[in-house]
Amino acid sequence: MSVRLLSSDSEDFTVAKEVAERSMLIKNMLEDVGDNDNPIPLPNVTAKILRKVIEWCEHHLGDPVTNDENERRNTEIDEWDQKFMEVDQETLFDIILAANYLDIKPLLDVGCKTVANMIKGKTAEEIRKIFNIVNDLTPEEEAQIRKENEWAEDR
Amino acid sequence: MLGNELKLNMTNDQLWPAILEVQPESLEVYPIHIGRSAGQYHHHQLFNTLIKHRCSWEMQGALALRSADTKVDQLKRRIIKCEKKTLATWILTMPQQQVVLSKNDEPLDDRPPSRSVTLPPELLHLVLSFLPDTASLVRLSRVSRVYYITACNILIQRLRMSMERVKQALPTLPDGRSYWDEDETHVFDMYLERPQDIGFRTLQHRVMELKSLAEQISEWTKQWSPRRKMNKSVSLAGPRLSLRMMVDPTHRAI
Repeated sequence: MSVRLLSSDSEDFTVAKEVAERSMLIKNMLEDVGDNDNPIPLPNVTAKILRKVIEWCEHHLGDPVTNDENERRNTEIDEWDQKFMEVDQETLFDIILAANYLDIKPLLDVGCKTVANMIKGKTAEEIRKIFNIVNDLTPEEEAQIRKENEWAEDR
Repeated sequence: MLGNELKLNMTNDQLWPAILEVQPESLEVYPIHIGRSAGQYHHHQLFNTLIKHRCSWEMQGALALRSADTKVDQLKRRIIKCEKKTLATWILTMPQQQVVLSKNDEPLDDRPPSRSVTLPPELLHLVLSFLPDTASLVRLSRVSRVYYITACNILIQRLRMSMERVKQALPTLPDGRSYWDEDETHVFDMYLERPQDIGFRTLQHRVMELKSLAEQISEWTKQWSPRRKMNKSVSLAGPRLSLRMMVDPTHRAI
């Protein structure tokens, strides 16, 4: 059985129901509306990102679901996922936003872990530069925080 | 073989009857009782040792909870200050030449020209929560206001999770309340059956985890008001906590 998904830019995707049901949002929608041929509109996901999300769901179709918080947090990103996440930063953030919207927790975790790995070991200045973040702390606040954080800098 | 390793040999093929405590990691050995007499294996000494350990870790757990609770309050106050843009306090009292003020970052030429993509705070929280250690979180708190607040929130969340694990292993008052936040002395019947009992080794592990986390956070919080260090009369320990163990005499004959 297949399901039709409609991206925000009106591209129609037909995917196997079990693939689509990796998304809790779609799973719940399908349970609410029952079987019908109408496409499910996904106004927050573009075709480019939806294609990536479907690719991920197809690859991870048989994965067991873990509810163990420690296991979720401590599992390393596998090789396939590392390659999958080798995209530009904008696409990476869009995948995370889509995973959050579609409620696909394992994909959300992989995306967030990827960003966390990009942050690890970087200075505040480097993080601002990588993610284009505007420093909105006042110079006095930043000076104080710098002093307060000195002990953590060499760890 | 184990008896040989523990040096309990009486003869080549006989061992001393003994109750010993072997520390799991260091393999240090502590005698609880060595030897026996007619009909007496001295297992009540094992029982008393276990009770003593249990009480000790329960007490340490209660104190760790108090200390962690103080940290949660401090972090919450910091979040409010950060939101109100009033983080800079003591630094304003320092002589100008000792303070290096940096200009806020100018836009960099090699920044990506694409639209600025930012994650909403709840997703930033999830991202940063994958950073395992406290020092990493503290280091990036200088990135921006939302990073500072998120770092504090994650530390609060970690403290609360760890506190919850300790609380589950501590006894509760007959009406279900926790005793660790009460000022008065409480008396517990240590023999009372509790359906969700957690062994003292697990309790010890959880308490040590909480203490370690609170100590790491203290490294940060003690930098927040350097002037206060001068005032040694200020005590952060809170009211004295005392517990008394009530041992049911009918169980002593075991």
